[in-house]
Amino acid sequence: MIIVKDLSHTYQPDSPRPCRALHNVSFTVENGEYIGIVGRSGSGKTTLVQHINRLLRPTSGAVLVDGQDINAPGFPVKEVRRKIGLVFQYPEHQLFEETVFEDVAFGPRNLGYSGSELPGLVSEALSLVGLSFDRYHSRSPFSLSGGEKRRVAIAGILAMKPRVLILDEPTAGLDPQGREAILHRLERLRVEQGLTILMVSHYLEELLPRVDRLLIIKEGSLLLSGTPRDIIKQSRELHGVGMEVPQFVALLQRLEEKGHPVRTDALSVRETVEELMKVMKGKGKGGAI
Amino acid sequence: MELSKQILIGQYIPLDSWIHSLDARVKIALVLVLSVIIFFVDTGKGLGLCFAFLLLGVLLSRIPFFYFVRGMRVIAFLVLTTALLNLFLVKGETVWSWQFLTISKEGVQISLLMSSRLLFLFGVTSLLTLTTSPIALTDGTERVLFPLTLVGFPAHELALMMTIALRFVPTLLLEAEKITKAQMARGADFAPGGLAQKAKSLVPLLVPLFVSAFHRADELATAMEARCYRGGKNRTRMKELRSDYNDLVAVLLVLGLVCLLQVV
Ligand SMILES: Nc1ncnc2c1ncn2[C@@H]1O[C@H](COP(=O)(O)OP(=O)(O)OP(=O)(O)O)[C@@H](O)[C@H]1O
Ligand SMILES: [Mg+2]
Repeated sequence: MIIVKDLSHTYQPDSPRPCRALHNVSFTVENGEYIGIVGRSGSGKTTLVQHINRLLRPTSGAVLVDGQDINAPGFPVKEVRRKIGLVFQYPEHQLFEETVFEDVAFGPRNLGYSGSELPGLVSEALSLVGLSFDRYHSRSPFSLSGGEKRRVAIAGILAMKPRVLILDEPTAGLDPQGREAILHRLERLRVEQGLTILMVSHYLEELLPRVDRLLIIKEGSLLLSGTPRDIIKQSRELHGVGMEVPQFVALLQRLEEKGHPVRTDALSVRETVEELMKVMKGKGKGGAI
Repeated sequence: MELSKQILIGQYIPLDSWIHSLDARVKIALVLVLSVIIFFVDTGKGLGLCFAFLLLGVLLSRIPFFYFVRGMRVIAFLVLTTALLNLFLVKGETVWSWQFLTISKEGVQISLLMSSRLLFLFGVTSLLTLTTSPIALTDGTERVLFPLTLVGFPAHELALMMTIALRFVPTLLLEAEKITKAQMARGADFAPGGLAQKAKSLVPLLVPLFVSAFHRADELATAMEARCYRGGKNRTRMKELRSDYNDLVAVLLVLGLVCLLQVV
């Protein structure tokens, strides 16, 4: 369980231009939950998630993992890094080894896994992101395509066997198929391994049908938090943070405005279609929408 | 670990002050003059005067004093080494000795003098880069160096290289910070170990950093090509540098300092 309590962070606090990136953010993440974090560019999402595995220290407030304050003096940093895997924004930029194998093994090696355990960890991690060990392990990471690099980088974190996985815009800059593939694999991971997942994204569409809860960040504060259905109903607040509800929700809202009895909290195109079918059937043969 | 906190050079702070408003050419020329003058100053009073002048500059620039001083830490090592070497190696009238170490009166003087000069040099240069936008800075440099183009000196190219270097210092620092964090998230440890261990632990930082620097350079070159950049010939400027009476005041102030230094 992760508890974030009154977290504030100021970059360069004593420079002429300090930057208050977070103020008084509080929330709790239960084990096994899938959390989506949404907000405009510059709202503080990256700053927030970097606190959760102690890459940044709070200016004030606390982060508790399994009841322990990870910023307490003497708290073993490696424990946090082992428990909580953080995939950075554009993680492909941190590949550096000569081969995919070495790069994926970098994390586990730092955590003290021995040489004989590494091949197993690496091949498991690569297969979790859908790359074949035999085809990829001896290639240079720099010779891969952008999407493959991204997957190798994610594998580098998965190989450390974290219990909580935080991903900072894992689908940014990928094509729709690559995006779907990553999201799908994450869901499978969650089911198979019971991972807790926190995912930062700009796309409400990709979070809505998957996550248990959404956190909406605005200018460093937690504006809204709730289930996707609760959030999607508050389209005005979403508009305020520069997020538009997905087009299918907008469609349902327009229909409701015109007096049609539809639910407006659909989370995916499929649900929307089902809702529309239901309404059309209910209207009988002559019912035109 | 926030590297960008620690290094001042190339970090322009846009404030609204008298020093900020001065013409970049004038500021550069004055910094050059001051850098030469400091090597002719060899008395305590003279040094005091110079530092008082620098302090005046910092105050006029509205840059928080402690922020400025913290930036000086970068060269603390250099200053200390200079001071220690001069302290022990200069021979003269011995004032203190212990085993093979001796300190002479001349040593003390020279070591104080040298480290003060270094500090002053770094101080005025920092003041210049803190109060002048990189664009104005290189524009100014190009103008100041212009006479040398007559003998084939590539002033424009030099200025361009300088702009790019200055422009990318903060970017690369931020990048380094990001990569460091990303590798720390993978359990990397950048702190402990001997020299060899330390050098080895830097590989995960340096390789991605170089890769991204080369990418950036490539992109920049393409972007410049795409905008038909073809060197400095016949280029005009959107913002012409202009001098006004404020710049005259600045020149007079420096002249005043020079005169005073003659007197004391
Ligand atoms: N290292 C840093 N030094 C100073 N300010 C920073 C630093 N990193 C981020 N900031 C500032 O903190 C604020 C929040 O940044 P953050 O990276 O957390 O935003 P974000 O929500 O992740 O944005 P994006 O969606 O673009 O990734 C921004 O205003 C940014 O300028
Ligand atoms: Mg971000």
